[in-house]
Amino acid sequence: MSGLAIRIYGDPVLRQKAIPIEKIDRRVKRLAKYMEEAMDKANGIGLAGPQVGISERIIIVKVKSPIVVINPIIVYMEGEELGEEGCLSIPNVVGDVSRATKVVVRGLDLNSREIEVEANNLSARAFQHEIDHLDGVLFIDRAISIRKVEKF
Amino acid sequence: MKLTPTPVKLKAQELNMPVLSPEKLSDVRDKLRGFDLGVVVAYGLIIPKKVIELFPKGIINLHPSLLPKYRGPAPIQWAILNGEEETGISIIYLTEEVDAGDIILQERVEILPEDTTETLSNRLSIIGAKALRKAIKLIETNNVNPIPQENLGQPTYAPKIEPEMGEIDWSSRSRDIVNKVRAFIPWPKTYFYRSGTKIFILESEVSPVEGEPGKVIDIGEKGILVGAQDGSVWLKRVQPESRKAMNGIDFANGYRIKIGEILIK
Repeated sequence: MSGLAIRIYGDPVLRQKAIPIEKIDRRVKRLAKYMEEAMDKANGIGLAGPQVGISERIIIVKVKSPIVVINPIIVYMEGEELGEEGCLSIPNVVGDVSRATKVVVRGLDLNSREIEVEANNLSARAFQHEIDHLDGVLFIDRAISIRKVEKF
Repeated sequence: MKLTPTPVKLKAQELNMPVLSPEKLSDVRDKLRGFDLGVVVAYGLIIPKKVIELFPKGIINLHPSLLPKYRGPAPIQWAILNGEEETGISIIYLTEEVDAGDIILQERVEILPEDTTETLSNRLSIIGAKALRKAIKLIETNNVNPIPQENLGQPTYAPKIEPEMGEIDWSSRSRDIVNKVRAFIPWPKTYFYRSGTKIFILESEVSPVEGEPGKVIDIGEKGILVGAQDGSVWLKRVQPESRKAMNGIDFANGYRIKIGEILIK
């Protein structure tokens, strides 16, 4: 599983609804580790299972330090803000998406403990974006407009 | 077989004006005498010098482009194909060389992003009809100041469109694909093949999202997203040959199109 490739738009897995993870075992821990590597390598601030071809409900968000949440759900939302988003699975495109400015995400950590994460602003945006991936939803579905970004 | 009268013929009959539909203009030359000015719009036959000379004030012609650009039989289609944002109409004096006569007047017309040959032709014909009246007035009052086309630049040509030109090459630029779809509506329409079936494209839209040429990147409410050379193209409305027109998503469902498949012959 080393060197997981990021799946690109046009891969059916990105439109599938991911299934819940029933047991957080060695396989899942290894998956989380590889996802973090793939995310870092691509300079991302978040990644979801389907983006590495695993249609299971696991996300990682790293705005400051990395947080892995398994079977995440949003239990609280507040505020609204339009902001620019991109996605590692949709290269060279960005769009403006309206998201809550504060969310509380509930799920399990890698030790199978229930956790609640409060996230604000960019971090809140990232959680909403990654959790959407688990339902086969992409930011371009929610964007009011999308555009090409010039490569550096 | 029965010939259906054109709207022009019906209107002329209503106004008690004679209508001739000759195979050769020389057959009816004598019937063209006694008029001051001739007006030609969308006429398929070459008009010989001898016929032009029957009209003391000459013959004028409405051409749907800003001449000398897009001389020839398909100026509207080629303007859209080339992604022009502006075209227009020209009223010129008819000469033996096709679409090359001096210009009496021109009107500019914006090409909208959603325009097809059908919608643009409709606008141009309304503007063209008004301009013809204006031109006739100018001629009547001796106020014409004809401008030779060579004063306005190099001529370009808009050759006839053939149905085979409608086949989509997914390795073209997304913008060019969408322009072709627009240019080929209502006829002959662009198309691609899916498992041997010819599928006409009726409505499409450019997307900046990238994908392999011809690959189905996504299927959604908006239709089917297909990769092109740069970016991609939403197929919003299609028509399988000898079937009804349908939305892209209904076509995808009905024909079991899958994300990831490549649209090839």
